[in-house]
Amino acid sequence: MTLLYKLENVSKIYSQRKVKKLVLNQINLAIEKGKIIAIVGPSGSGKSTLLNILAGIETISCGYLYFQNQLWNQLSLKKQLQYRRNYMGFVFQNYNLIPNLTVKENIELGANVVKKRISIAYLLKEMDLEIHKNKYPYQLSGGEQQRVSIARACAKNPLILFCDEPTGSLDGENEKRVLDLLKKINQKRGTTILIVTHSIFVTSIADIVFQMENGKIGEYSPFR
Amino acid sequence: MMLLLNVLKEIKEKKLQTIIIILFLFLSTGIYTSINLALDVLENQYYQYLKKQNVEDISVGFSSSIEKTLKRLSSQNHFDYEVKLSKEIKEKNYYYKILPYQKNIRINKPYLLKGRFPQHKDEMTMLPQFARKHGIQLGDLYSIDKKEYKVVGFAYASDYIYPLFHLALPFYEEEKENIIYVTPWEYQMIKGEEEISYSIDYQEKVPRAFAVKINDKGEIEEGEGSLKIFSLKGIPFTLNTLERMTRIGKLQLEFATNRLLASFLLFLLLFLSSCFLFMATKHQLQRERRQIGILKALGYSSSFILISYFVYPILCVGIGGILGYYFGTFLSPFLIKIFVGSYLLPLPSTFHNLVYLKICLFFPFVFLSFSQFFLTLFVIHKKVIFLLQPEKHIKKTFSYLHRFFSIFPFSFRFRIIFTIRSLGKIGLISIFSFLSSLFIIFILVGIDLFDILLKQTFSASYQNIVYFNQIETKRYSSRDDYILSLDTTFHGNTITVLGIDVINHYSRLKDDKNKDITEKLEEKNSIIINRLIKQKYSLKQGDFLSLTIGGEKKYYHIVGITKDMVGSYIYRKREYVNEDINLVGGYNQIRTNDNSYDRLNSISQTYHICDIKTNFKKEIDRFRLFLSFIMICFFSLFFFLLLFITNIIVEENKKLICLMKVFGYSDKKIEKMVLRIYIPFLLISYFLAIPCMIFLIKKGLHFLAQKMNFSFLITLSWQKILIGLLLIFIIYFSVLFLSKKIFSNMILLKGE
Amino acid sequence: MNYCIRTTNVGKEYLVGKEKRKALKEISLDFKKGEIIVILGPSGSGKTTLLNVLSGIDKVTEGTIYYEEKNISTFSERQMTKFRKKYISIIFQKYNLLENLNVYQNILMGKGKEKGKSEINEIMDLLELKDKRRYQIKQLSGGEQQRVAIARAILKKPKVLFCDEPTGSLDERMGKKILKYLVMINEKENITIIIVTHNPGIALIGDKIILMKEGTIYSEKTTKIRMNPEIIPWG
Repeated sequence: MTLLYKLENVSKIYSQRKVKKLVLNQINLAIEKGKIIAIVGPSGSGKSTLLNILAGIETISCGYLYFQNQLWNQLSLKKQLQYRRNYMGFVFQNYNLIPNLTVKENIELGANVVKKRISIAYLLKEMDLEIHKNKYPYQLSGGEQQRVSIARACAKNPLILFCDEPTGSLDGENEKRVLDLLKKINQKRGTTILIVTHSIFVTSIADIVFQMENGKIGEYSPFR
Repeated sequence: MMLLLNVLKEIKEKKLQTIIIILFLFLSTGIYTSINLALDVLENQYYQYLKKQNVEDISVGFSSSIEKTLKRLSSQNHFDYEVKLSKEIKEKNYYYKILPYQKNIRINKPYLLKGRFPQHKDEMTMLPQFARKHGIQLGDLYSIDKKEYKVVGFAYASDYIYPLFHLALPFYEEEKENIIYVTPWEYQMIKGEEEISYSIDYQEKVPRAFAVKINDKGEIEEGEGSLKIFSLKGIPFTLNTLERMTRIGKLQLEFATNRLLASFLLFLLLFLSSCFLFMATKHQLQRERRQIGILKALGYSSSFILISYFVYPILCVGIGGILGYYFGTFLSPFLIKIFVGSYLLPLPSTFHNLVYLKICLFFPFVFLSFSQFFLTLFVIHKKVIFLLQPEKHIKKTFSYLHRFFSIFPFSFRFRIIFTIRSLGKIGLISIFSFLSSLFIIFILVGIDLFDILLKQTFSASYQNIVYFNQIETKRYSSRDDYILSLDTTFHGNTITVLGIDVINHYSRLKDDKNKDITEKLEEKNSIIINRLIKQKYSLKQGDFLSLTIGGEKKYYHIVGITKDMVGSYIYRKREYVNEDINLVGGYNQIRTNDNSYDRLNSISQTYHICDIKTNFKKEIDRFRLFLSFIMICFFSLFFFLLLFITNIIVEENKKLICLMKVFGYSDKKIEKMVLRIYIPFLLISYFLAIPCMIFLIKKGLHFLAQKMNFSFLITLSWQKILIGLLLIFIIYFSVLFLSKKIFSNMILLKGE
Repeated sequence: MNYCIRTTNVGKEYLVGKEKRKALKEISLDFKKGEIIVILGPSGSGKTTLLNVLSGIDKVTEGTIYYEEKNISTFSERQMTKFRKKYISIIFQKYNLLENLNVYQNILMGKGKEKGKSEINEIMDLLELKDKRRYQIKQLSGGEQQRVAIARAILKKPKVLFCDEPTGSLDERMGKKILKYLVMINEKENITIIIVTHNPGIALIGDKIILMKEGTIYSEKTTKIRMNPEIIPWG
């Protein structure tokens, strides 16, 4: 059981116009490699901030953050960027596909950032997107767009896939398809998947579920 | 109201853009107001002066039969005439014009600035400029022709508003030239070259702009208005209109051209600011599409929403326009001082003119609202459902391009797609780059225009030019150059024919490439013209010119063009010019380094080259100031345009850049793929702008050559071109560098 | 006045590229005043399109829609906007708030006048927004923004309230709370509420459940009693 991430007493404080807000409050968290982890919680509980911190996009106010047993703060910015480039993939709630690029090109954008990548044709096939190859995002439904987004994130074969409310804009059927896809990626490639969500449905594919409330995190029993 | 608050908050967000637009408005209205107000005041002063001092409408040379004719005509045609006497004295290096002062002068009344006019025979009044330069106070003594006079007053001669004594002395030298009034009986005593003419002044209202046509024969052709009366046959007279026109009317040309400039600058700056606003609004509307849809869905009417978009231009116009107007009124007295500086016109006091305030508010408002109105209208009337959905950026035709480019690597494809996704943006960026390139090229050309002119014109190796009263044949030192100089008219203008020896020391004729072409004058009917003549009359080497030298009209062959650009000079072999006037070995000018000629009695004048150079520099200093001002304006425009372009590029791609950063693209790679795609357009615009600007400048110089007696040589070396390119890139990359800070916020990627 | 909505043979057709797509086919419905209607269906079934045409932000290509005696399918854009201002409120899936204003000001946009300060306070209390009164929209999380949108929609006490996936970005607790409030408002002010969702549990709080499939009405059920939002199954 290798740990991808380890957080010790991590806190994050935002200060906005003299008001200081404690967004993350002494988080202790261990993320195992190869698992599907879900973090649920009401809106405003700090889930997205946690995601930003794990991705290295935001800095922590205090505590320790370890990535693959290395202290993140001690890594140079260049190294941090390198890690993010090579090891992390991102899926957003509103897909964030580039409207001027076709499906294939959107995936290429994700793949182009590294040298070693998965063949795009293969990805398209795997995720059932081959018929949409040359279409533009506006021609696809929400579910299809999200699948493109996932393909884009996976194109560089990351160690961990961060998903911020991936099914928030999708209906039941599409939600199921997306979750199935994520599960497939996890099983086939061993990609660690971290999903931040408020949908209970998502927890059905998770190995471990954490609950967040008011900046604090605790374990939650897996829901089957 | 809530909507107003929304707009005000938007303004807070777009502080830089608002400041730039207000600055442009401020500059444009300020410049426009200051120039126009100054001109208003000056013009008012000028015409009042002309009226009060009863300045002549026209003058005619003296001949015996004219007096009778004038008397007869004057009662018929309601004009007044008066004899004008003046004597010229050249003493040392000073040049005096002596005029008799009578209390009952009707036409061209002198204007007293200080003191009083002479009443006794040892009193005089002189020009205040001359007095100032020599520290002469009221009550001091001054001597002319070995006689001492007491200076009792300072006055202007009202028909010498621009003190051009004659065309041989094209520039007014304050410390050398003086206009002096003495009592009429003292005037009789003074020895000097006398000029007699009649000044004619119409009593009824006559258009002040002269319209005289003098044909090649020196005859007056049917002019407009009052001059028709003089086309009666059988009256021999000479009309010195050119000189007098310059003395009185030169200022009018300035009025016209400066007003034109003011309007040009106003509209140019307004156009640019409305372009800015257009782009910014387009951008804003793209972002606010949803918002507009929401407002409509909430039930707010289209017209209500439209009105809220006008708050911004009204605010900008209000601030920029009003501030600009007041700045202009503040600035105009200084401008007046600068204008009046080289003219003999009493300094007027300024006044306000609220018409300009209205102009300063009206035109900017029209320009700014234009873009707002059309853009907003276009968006607002769409159906709510369209507004709520994100815009579909793809035009179907471009999808073919995607397939076409599929063989290229991804980075390249990506850049192409991003570049062509919006032709409008490419167009705008290209136009703005083109405009800013035009400006920077103008500056690069203009920056040493005067220095080159000075260098080219005053590269002579001789120090002195000695003028003789009449044509001499006695030879002095063989180390000097002997020149025969004759004036003739060409197309109504006076030009000087210089007869030079082919073998000479100081007067080598060189063309643009610095090749010596003096030998070409050996050809029998050859002439060599200078650059000014070439530009003024659009001539070229090989053309034939018909000139009247010594009374005979002949065709001359242009065998070369010299590089000097000051003065209208045509060169011919001295021997041939002598032949034309039936002389042998004649000359009336010597170019030498020798100072000993001053002792000769037959000398009329000696010019020292360094003096001419100094005076020339002074004359063009004003012009240079003006040019510098234009260059500063242009540079700011250049700078802001580039700033704006790079800002657009960064703003448009904020979300994409953020996404790419999250994906792990390095800053460098992002720059390469997203931010540098417009560089080819910058380059193309720059290189296209070079020939365009050169063409425009050449046209301008051609126009200039017509009006003035000097012209410029345009140089744009490859070093200059590189400097311009470097400047563009420095600004471009500085802005990109400064905007890197905004890129790493993931919040941008969250909500849509 | 008994505001009821009646649609007769409503159809909506539009172009996707070169193809014509029929999003709605022969929809005939009848809503009574004060009803809570829930429209269910998978994505692509046309439920959002139906909501768009019913609320007037899109126009039908066939058929008529009557609000009592008024035929809104013949209204011009301007007339529709006026009508909407008076009688209709819409809550969108993507909140659609004005980013430059704060929470309080956004809610105020719903009514357009400063009157009714107490009403705003009451609504803000209920949606737990009181302490976020001066926050900028950008500072709020997704769920908080949705609450603001709902507050804005309810402020003017419309006759009909349309809700397009109102609980889409909310967790169970907040989602149920929203539904409770919607029910309360319906009971208090007799506002007709039409909810479009893919969450079948929500359908149970309504009077009428309409199932849509591929642009047509698959089934139409009238429930005998409304279920309390707190106990509905979620997901």
